[in-house]
Amino acid sequence: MSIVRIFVEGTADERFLRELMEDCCGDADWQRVKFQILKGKDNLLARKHWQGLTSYFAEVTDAGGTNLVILDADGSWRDRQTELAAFRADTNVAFESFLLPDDHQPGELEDLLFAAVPAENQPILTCFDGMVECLMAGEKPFRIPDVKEKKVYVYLDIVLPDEKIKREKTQPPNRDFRGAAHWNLSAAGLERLRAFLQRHLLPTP
Amino acid sequence: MATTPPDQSRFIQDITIRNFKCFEELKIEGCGQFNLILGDNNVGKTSVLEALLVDENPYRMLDALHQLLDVRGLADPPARKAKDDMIFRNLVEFFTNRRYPEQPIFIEIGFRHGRMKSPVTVALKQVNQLSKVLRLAFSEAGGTGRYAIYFSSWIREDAIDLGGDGTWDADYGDPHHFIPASLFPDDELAASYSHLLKRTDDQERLLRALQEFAPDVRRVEIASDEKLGPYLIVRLATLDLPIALEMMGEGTRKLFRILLETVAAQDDRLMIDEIDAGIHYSRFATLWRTTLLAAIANNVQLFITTHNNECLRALAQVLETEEFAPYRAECRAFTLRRLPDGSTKAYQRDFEHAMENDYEIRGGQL
Repeated sequence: MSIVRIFVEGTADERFLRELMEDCCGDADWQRVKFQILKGKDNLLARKHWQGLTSYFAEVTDAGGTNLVILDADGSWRDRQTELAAFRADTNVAFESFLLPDDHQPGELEDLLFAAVPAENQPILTCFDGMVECLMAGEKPFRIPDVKEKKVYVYLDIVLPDEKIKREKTQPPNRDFRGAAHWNLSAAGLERLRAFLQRHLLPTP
Repeated sequence: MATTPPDQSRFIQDITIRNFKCFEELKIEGCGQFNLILGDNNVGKTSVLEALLVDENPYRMLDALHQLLDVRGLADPPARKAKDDMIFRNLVEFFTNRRYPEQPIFIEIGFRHGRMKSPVTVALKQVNQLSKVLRLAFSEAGGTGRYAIYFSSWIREDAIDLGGDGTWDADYGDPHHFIPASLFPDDELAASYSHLLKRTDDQERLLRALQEFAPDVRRVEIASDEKLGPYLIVRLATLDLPIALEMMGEGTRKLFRILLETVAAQDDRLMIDEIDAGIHYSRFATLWRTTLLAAIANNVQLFITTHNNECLRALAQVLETEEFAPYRAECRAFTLRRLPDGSTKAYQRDFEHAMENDYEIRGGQL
């Protein structure tokens, strides 16, 4: 397998994708898979960074490798696609892209994580949503900043066993997605991302 | 009163290297005043610096290449004279790409601010028996062959016959300045220091920088000896008697050398191989600040190699200071990579962006 460089927004994305890849692409050559953390999607999508980024994509392509860009779709999958197309056209770099959660709908990494919550734990998410609604419904609404991220933390706080390192285990770079009963990496909501990774990471038969 | 901006017309913008050492062809485009040449071992970083010794004056270039051979013990430096064509054989064998030894070295430079680029092409090749492999030709010639430096530009094209005895005049300016990575002799430093004595600002900056490396240093002077000629001595606060510069640590001597060479390279370029070698990591910021200030004051274009990430981080920190704000855009980084087909390519990086976002720009395995 030639080199695969994966551009992601942050450490949370890298951790989740590494775990998912190990789950669905067991035969991949991990030495050849490299992550590049963008520190936010704007570091790729803002035009002022394009010239500086070009060489990192080109060196992978020149070496016969593949660039993957995996970002949040956020509010509009179509808008992100348009921005990526502009980056590709302007810089002439080659890459394949996938917009979280499923390269189809708007959303973020956290939506993918919610899709990976097993059915028996879904009530935790439902109750959390109810709490958020309640806070917003009053005469003076209370908004929770970064509500999706908080939802993940609350979920892990509830499902992880009480131990000294529990707090650390809720942090994005330390999250354990494989072999944990509170995540289901084979859930239907992750199928499109699994297929995308398998297509680029597994040796072609 | 408005000051005249420095003349940067002689700063290199682009360079194309063909058939030189490990390069079949390498292009580096968009150079700034401060250029980092990065990459894995044996990818050709030092060779890029050596190629930058190219000069319109063929003797000057020949002298520079000759000095590089001298550093490796492959030349006879004082005489500038080839013994049994040793210099020319070594020049060709050392600097010509071994895959195509019959092809001439080709180095083309585009300068900054030119209304048109001024390509300078230097081809090092044998006058006769061009179709033969040079190594064989040397052997057949038995030391009597005639060799030439071909020189051409958009102005004129010429071949300068060096003659069969392999000598050439030294009646021209200093070659471009090159500081090799390994330990170097200090014997020419006294002459360079005498230039610096005329420049109070640089002299004071040098002393301050040296004091950051060696707080004891109070003064540097030129001494003389009938046999040794002029040499440098350092006066220390803690010793009554001066000591020879050679007795100072490698880091101090290196900084001293960089400063002197920067002053000597005024309005020209300076190549520094492995700038971090021999320097403690805590001194990197001082090293960079001092080097950049000297380069700015003397209008010198720098080409520098390093493998050291701490060294690169220190440069980024120095460039972030207000003092260097006008010069940030002048810092360029080029990562050399060997491609699967054996060729080499230079990837230009946005240094500031790379440092801010933790991109690996030192090359190595992808």
